Amino acid sequence: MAGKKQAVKVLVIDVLKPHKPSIVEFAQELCSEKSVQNANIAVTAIDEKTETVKVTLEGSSINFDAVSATVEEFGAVIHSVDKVIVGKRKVIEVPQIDKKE
Amino acid sequence: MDAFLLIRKNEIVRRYIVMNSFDGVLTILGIILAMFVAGVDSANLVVISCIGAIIATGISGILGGYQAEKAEKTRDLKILERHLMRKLEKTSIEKEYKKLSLVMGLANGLSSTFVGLIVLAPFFFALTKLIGLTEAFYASFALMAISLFLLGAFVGKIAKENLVYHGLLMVAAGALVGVLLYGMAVFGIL
Repeated sequence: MAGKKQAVKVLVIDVLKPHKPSIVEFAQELCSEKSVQNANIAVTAIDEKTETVKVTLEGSSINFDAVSATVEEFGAVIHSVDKVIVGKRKVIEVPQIDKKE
Repeated sequence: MDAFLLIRKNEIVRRYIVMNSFDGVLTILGIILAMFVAGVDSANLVVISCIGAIIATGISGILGGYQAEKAEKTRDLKILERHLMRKLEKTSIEKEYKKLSLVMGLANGLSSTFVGLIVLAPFFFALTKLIGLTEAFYASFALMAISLFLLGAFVGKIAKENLVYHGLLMVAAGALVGVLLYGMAVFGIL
């Protein structure tokens, strides 16, 4: 571990949350954390009392601990961290040409 | 402002307010009408009896509403905790639930207190000798009819139906109490 840690630009997390409060309030709550600039939330599965949502966050330097604290305080659970983009600029994913079906 | 928003959003709070305002008006109506029929000639007696009833229904409303609502919310929270597989202590959900129980309790208790004090108001004037006791009785009956009508109109507004019809229905309920009590007095049952 040498030098300063690189900034997190994009963070994609899988979250299990209660139906209420809605994802609108959830998104606003996440954006009120100052290291998060933009949020994109999509519901991927609905259960009786809960829903699974895919949360994509964007910022110049996302504070992951603050984000997970916000999620925690909201009464939701982070199931997994699915994607992260770190560095000075956003890396474009290279399509896998030789990917087998 | 926050509480006002809750009332607009929450149907249970609205239900509590209607139920208990109605309770409050009819309780006081019963007492005042009984005093009127019995021919009580002291404003002091009317005020003391009504204040007693108002305080009792107010406190029973606040505590009863709060306890009942808290029990329901705790149950809801436990079910949600099982689904989320985590504790929900110190989350915004728990805070919201606590606040809601408190608002429910207050709405439950204070609504009957509030309307009770309004319909009792003429007797405070009678106490200070601003108006006579008989006028106070009639003013109080008028206030009861008005508050019952407004309450009915509120119910009509919730149901998105005719305000006047629902208002008159509530007044009729008040009149029924009056007729029953008066009838019992006239026929010598009381």
